Amino acid sequence: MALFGTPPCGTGHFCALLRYVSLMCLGHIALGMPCIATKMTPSSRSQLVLTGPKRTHDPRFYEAGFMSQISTLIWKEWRTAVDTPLGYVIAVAFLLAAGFFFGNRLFLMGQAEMRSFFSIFPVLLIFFIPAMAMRSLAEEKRSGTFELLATLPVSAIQIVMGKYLAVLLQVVVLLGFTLVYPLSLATLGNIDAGQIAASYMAALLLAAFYTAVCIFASSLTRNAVVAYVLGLSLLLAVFLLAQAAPLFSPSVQNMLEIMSPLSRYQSMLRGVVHLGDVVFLLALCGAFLAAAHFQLERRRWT
Amino acid sequence: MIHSEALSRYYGNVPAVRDLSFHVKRGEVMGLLGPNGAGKSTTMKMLTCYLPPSSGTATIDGIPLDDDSVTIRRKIGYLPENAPSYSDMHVTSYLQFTGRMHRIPDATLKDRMTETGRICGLPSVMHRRISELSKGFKQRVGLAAAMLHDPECLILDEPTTGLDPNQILEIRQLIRELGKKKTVLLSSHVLSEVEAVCDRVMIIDKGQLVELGTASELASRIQDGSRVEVVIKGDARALLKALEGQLPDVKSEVLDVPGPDAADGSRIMLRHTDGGTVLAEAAFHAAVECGSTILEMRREQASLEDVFRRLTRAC
Repeated sequence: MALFGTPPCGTGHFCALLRYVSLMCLGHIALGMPCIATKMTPSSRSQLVLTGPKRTHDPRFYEAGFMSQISTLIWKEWRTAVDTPLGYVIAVAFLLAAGFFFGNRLFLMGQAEMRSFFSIFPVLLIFFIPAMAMRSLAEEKRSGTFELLATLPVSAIQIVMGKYLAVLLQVVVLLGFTLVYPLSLATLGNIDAGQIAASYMAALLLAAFYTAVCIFASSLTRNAVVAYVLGLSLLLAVFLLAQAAPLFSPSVQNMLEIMSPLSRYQSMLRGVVHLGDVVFLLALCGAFLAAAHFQLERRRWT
Repeated sequence: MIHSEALSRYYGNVPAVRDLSFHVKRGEVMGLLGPNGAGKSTTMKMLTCYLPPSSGTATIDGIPLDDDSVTIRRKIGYLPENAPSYSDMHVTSYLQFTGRMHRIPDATLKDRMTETGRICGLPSVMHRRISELSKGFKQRVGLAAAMLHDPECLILDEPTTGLDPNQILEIRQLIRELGKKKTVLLSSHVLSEVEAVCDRVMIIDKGQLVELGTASELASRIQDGSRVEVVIKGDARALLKALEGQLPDVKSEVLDVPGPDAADGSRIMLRHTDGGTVLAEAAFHAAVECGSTILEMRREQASLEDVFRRLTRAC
């Protein structure tokens, strides 16, 4: 756990930075993303050519269309989300709930701050993110379109990334709507912009983690409802484990504190974004996406 | 184009496909025929790189399956069983999605979409949601998506199941049209379809290849001797006697003896071990000899249906 331990301070800065960079790379490997080397060709200096190690892995990862296919997948998911009522229902329900918790505290306490809103935020997302991610892979498998998708010239990594980023995009849009709150607060009084910005970053990272967990849940089953319940249970387990920390002995408590994505989130709410917290959450995302990827490719080995 | 060698796939310990070797030539329409659960879909899933084979290999256009699956997938248009598609999408955006995933440049994609849409008869439904379409149209949308990137090889898993007779005819027409330029591997358990569309037929049962050849080759291979059914006006017994004079080992069976008014003649089934036209000729000469009139004569050929039933009968 030393890797994820206390954030760098003093003279250890450089070593810590190195550590985090290597961790970041680990996270990328977990995602299966290659370290893409960019180089300029003499013939077209203005054009970036993406190349990679020669055939050490599957060559498809290095093709120039890697990102364009992912974005096509995101585009398709977005079209579907905009075309169907589910997305709107979730958005309305989420904003109603978020507005309630924001307004409630604001009018009760009469303070121009969002800390109370952000402290309830993880609980809110536990219910909404599984709903947004439940259909993602489960529905593809149920309707048989997964076979179509998997036989298109794309890799499973692209599929997972596309699906993940598509859900994350919806979450980000929802988060974007809540920007109305700090903006309206700003007209009422003095707000701590830095702290709120850090809180948004924390919320974004937490949402990214939740989404990765729910994508994994969706990859486990072909039934969207089961995927929802699975995602909800996993997230609840993470949440409750953090809540139950005081029940354990101090050493376990400390361990839970270090391991819990929620404590990382809480620490960021104070307005201090530690690189360690960011990397920790990103690595967790990577781990769950790697698990989802494994789940999709499992048919090849059994 | 497709070259399979000892292709096998096991689900756990259960073999779905065992030692399947075959060769599909470029520009050929090959029918993959077999009862339900024979391993047709599994074979197609392996060829489209969805499932890796447990053992054995196959090459598509010279490229082994496990070598460069992305290149292979570009060369193949695949229509899975039941023609799944994103039912929440509109036909245009679905095709657009498929095209972009194949990295067709946007400039040519539009033309390809109109072109394939026209070939598959989709223009009237282009802007409808897929979930609103009839089964036949969904199938055509699936087919259009499969051929959008102009693949050299089309792999179609039961493209006509669940369609009404008119739609079946249209899809077959379409496949025959496509088969002129492309290699097509098509699975079915409808025999007449395979007979109508395919150049060659491959019959598999319990994961193993049982027969491979053109429909008529298969029929003649299974037929033992020839059968001729004649309806004659006149004395049937005299005819049989005359016939036996010419072909001693002919077997006959009177199927239908005419009533007292004798207007329609008697129906006789003749069998002979020789597969050629000998029996029919002999029957004609015998009829001339004994002065009776042939009202009807039909050489019976084993249909693909017979072949199929014979080969895949439960043991």
